[in-house]
Amino acid sequence: MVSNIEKDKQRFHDIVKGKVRKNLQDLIKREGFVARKGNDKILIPVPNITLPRFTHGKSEPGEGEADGIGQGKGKIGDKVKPGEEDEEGNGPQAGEEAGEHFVEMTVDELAAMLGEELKLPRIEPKGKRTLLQEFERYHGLRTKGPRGLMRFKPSYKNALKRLISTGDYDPDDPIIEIMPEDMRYRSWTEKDVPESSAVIIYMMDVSGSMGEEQKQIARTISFWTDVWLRAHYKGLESVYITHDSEAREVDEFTFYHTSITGGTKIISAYNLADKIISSRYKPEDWNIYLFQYSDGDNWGENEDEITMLENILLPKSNLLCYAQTTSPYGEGKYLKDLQAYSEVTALKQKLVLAKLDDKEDILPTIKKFLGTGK
Amino acid sequence: MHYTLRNDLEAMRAEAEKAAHECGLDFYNTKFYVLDFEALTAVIANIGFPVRYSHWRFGMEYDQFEKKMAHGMQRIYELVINNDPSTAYLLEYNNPVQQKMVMAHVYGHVDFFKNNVMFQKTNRNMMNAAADHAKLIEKHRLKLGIDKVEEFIDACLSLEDLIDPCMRENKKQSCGKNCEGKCDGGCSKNEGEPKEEDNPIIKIDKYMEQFLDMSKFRAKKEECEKPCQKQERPERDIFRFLMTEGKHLADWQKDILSIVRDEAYYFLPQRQTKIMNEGWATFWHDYMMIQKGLAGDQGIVDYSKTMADVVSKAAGFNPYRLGYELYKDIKERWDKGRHGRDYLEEQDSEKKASWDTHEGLGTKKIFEVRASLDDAEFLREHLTDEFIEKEQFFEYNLDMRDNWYKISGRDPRVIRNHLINMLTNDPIIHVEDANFNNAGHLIMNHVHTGMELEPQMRDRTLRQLFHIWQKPVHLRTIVEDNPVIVTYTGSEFSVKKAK
Repeated sequence: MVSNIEKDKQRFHDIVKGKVRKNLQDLIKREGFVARKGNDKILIPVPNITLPRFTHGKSEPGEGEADGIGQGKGKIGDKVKPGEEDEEGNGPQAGEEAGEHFVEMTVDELAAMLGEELKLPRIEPKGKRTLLQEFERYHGLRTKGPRGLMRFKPSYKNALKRLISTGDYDPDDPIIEIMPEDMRYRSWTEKDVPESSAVIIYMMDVSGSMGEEQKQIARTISFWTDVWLRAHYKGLESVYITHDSEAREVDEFTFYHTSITGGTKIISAYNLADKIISSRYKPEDWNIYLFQYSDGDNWGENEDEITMLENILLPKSNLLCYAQTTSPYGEGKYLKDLQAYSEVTALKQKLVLAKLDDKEDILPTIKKFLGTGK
Repeated sequence: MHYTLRNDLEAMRAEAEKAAHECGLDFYNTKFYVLDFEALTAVIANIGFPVRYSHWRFGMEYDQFEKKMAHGMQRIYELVINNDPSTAYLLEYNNPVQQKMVMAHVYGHVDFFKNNVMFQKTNRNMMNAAADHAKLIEKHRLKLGIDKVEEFIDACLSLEDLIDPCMRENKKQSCGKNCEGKCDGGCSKNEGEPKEEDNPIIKIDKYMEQFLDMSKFRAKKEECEKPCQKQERPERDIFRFLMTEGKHLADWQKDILSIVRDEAYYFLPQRQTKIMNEGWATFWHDYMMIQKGLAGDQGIVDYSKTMADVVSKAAGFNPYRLGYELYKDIKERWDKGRHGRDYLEEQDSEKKASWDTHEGLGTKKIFEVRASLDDAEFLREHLTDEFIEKEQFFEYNLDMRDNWYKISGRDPRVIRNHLINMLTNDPIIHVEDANFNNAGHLIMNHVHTGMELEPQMRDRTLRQLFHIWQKPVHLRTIVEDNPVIVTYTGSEFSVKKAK
């Protein structure tokens, strides 16, 4: 009976999303804020939207004034409740305090905003473009459908059941009348075969020189690249590799929370990535993205790595994004060598390099990584 | 929505109505509707009106309420609309005993709406008015675009509190002049009740005049056109001020100002009497359920459980409980004659405790109280020290050392003041002049009552006001103990020391 309210709610959500759009840049810089809900829903905090009005500020209670009033037993000094920043007053308008409000958005919506904000080109998937196929199969029954799909047997059975249960069935005069609600029709399901699928392989140098803050930054960047790629590829998969002088495949949590003191051999991660690609993600069928975070203090002269990139990893992948954090110990030679290499290689377009010092670098790095349209 | 209640519910309703009559309650005819969860939530978001104008704020409230209900953080049994006939919504899933309790409760509310002094001037046809408002705003939205209209509504809603609580009268502005109260409603036609004498406001050809007695009409008209005298007291109703002084405002903007104003005046008395109103309804549903036997022998346990929730102390401070217990206390005091000088001046505490003159005026007294007071007065007059002690009120303060709120005392004076301040804490702001600096600026005055305005909200609200006024707006107030004028010019804020 109140049809308007759904419209109002929609409007409210649109306004909230507008806020997200407006504050997207700040939001991106903010770390660890987002909560996932299922596979393609994301909860995003936005400041509560309230209409301003003149109110009295909170004043410190003076002598003989109270912060609040309660009711019940207890003696002086008994604890009532913990103090909070944002105390819910006893005032008649409690609940109007500005707080945070979570808005639910789909990956697609968020990606669209991100694309608009950072002016990202859409990705053109490589390889043969298989058209989106719809798989149709009859499967199961439903209560509505076209006459041509009506199935007599189940419909008849239903009618029979109904008559017996209501006691109207007469075995001597077995006339079965099939009513519309007894009718059963064939139903079908559609199955999408993904147009193109993609995998992201994340590689992280956990050799101790990557601090917590840097990891957090890496994570923030990964979140957004993930959103962007997820919007372009159905069924995006992720692989996480950590390495020091040796590489191993880990889950997402371990990836962002491991810290080992040890050496750094980037080649070990490259080898593992190659192994994973060869065994699970055939480059003909998959769009492969490599994201690598390191402080760049690689052991050795970086020649093996570059050869590996030139001959194996870059040809197989869409993109390799390398972000180097500033190391307090070394000079980060790896980035310089890659820069030199990218000047000469024919695969230059597939290699994206970025330097990551602090939060301010998050946005430009995302833009660099995703700005290639690959 | 079916108007006819299910048979069993209708029987309960008749029973509750009969009991309410026997209790001496005096109420409007009340229609009950049974709604499911979703529909009730939707109605609540519209604050009870089945049709209300479209605005995102209601969507937001709906959204938040829905979530709270879904998480079981909120329980709601009913909703009553102050209207004649009144309308009440019941939740489908209440059990029969709860339904009965709720119906009895509703009759208590309706009696309160009908008889409390604060409600004497409210529009008893607000449900229809709200639907008309919805239609009008929808028309403007379609014509001018949602954004434009919504922005203006937003701005008006920010000023919602700036109405005159003492003006318990909500007259329409129709003569265009500020003659409220002077021409005695003759020119300001109240919507919905056109007065017969007003009808001659039609075009009459000159020649007809000799046949008609126009003297009465002319006298009225002249009175209306007479320039108003300087206001005796400062204007608190900013909407009235904007509608008369805002010469630049388009008709649609005046429509919206007037709608927001009407609804604000309609809801004002409900905000001012929440404790009294809920207390009254709770007092009577309890009386009817137990004394009048509505709960029945079977239902008494269920009823007691529900009632314990309603008046629980667990939440720390429960306004429902406060009102309910206060009426009970007043009834007892007037039944036993525990009031007046003799009782108050009695020093012997034992004598005081067993004081009973068999005066028996309790019921009469509470009816009188419900008719004549608002919440603040209610507490000021009837929240006695003994009551505060009996109800185990305490004050608590934040202990900085471990960031815990701790009980800091049980001083009745502090507790009473705190409760009353909570109710009267809205800033008082007057409109002073529409031609400040002789440049058409708007200036308002914040009447300082010991508290300063929250600066962020203050500035955001001034910005909203600018959206309506379209010229610089000023506010006299106090910032860090200095009198200042805060100004928003449309592009920037400034705070200057006041002369």
